[in-house]
Amino acid sequence: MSRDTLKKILTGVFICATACGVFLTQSSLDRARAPREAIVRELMYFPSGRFMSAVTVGYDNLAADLVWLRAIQYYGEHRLTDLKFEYLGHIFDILTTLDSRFINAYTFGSLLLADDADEPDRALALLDKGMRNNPHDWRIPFIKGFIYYVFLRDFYRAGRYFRISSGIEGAPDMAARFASFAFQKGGDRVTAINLWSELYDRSNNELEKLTALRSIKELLMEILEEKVAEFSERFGRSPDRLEELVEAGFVQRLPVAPDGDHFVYNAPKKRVEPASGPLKVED
Amino acid sequence: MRTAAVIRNTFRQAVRDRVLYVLFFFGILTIGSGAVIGPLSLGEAPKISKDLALAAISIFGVLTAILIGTRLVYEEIEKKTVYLIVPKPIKRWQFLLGKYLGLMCVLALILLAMTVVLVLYVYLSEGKFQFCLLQAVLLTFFELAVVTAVATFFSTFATPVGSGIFTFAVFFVGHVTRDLRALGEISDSVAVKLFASFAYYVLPNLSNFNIRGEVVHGVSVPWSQLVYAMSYGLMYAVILLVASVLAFQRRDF
Repeated sequence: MSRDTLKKILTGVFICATACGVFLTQSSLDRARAPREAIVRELMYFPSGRFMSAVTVGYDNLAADLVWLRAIQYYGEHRLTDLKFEYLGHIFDILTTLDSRFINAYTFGSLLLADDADEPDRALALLDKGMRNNPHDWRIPFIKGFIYYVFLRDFYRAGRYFRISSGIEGAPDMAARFASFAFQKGGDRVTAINLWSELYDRSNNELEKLTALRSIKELLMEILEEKVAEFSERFGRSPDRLEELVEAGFVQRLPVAPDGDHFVYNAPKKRVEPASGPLKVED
Repeated sequence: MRTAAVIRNTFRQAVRDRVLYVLFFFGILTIGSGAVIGPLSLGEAPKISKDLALAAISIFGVLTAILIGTRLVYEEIEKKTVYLIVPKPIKRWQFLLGKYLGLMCVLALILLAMTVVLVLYVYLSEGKFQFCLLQAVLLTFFELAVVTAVATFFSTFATPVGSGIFTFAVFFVGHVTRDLRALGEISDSVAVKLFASFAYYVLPNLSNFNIRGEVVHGVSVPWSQLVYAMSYGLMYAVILLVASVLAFQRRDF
């Protein structure tokens, strides 16, 4: 072996060894930094919106977009892990301070707060802020009525906010329709399904659509299970198939979820399930 | 005519600067990055793309104004080319005005190019043209007129690094003057109140030129507001240019 070849081999070995060293060092650094970085990521939501607004030197809308992306990431991470949304309210507060006209931040944020974070009061506070900043937008009072109806079961207040929404220019007819439903038929599950369906149809936010779809399926399953109970009481046995409910006249036809999913009766478990499979947490 | 010659020369000098191309490239890249970020934004892609594009036009315009503006006069002195100009039948104010307007022409060209990209991008992604976006770009141009005047002022007596730091500081403070005034209003101290009022009226109020939030959300901005903001920018730039000429005339060449 010539001296030149040996030199080349040794150089190659040296480069490979150093590259391995770089890889191993980086991996060790990543491991060491991971716990602290997780804390830093959470702490990133701590500064107040007013402080953020001052330091963004006029680029507050861009900063709001970054917070929006982080909010989605934060929600996704916790939705798939511990289901704790401690900073969700704070994040959406910062977001709407940076961009006070970001209507979807108010509506989507309040739905997440009311539904996943189980903080309806915070959701209402976020919507109040939205109504103060955007008094001419019908969507915010509409979602407030929605939260009163679906989560707080306060049908009188729900009707009031649907009515406020219906009086704002640009509001669709359904706002007035829901106002009268809320005043007349408080607690009606069909109205709740219609409300969620409107949200599902109008939203271009995939997470919002998923939340609406999950709620619609849950409500439809509740109704079908009630009908199954009535069937069992009359015939002394459970139905083998849901179609028997139609044949016996308990329902006119079997409902279909907005995504086209049907429902089936799981006889051994004695419960109604979507044909696509039971609802999962990530649904 | 003499000023026009300086404008032409400054324009040529600036368009040969590599910094300009690097900034322009990153500006276009940032506008295009909206297409990548959009799908991650849960239905907010149009808003985020427009926010990003308008911010990119402003940020890279300000960087160009600062990085090139702070070297405008200093390089002429450093390279001693100013000694060739001073004996010629051109007044110092004409020289300085020519330098300033030359750079403004370059900034207008950059803004125009980035705006064409923005308009095309919005048209291709949304299928419609949004006139109000142009209003935001127009005010950004006037903001740059003020920032360039600040950079020109500092460049008449400070080094490029010093001028860059001072200009950036003025840019930062120029965006928080309203907060400063609000701070003064809630303070019990008369001195703080006076200082806050003084800072509010003396420092450039650059938030006057920021209507990006409104146009992205489709909120119409009255023309009277635009005219006021443009007049403010013009007058502020004139004051700074006069101050720059005074500082430049005191220098011994």
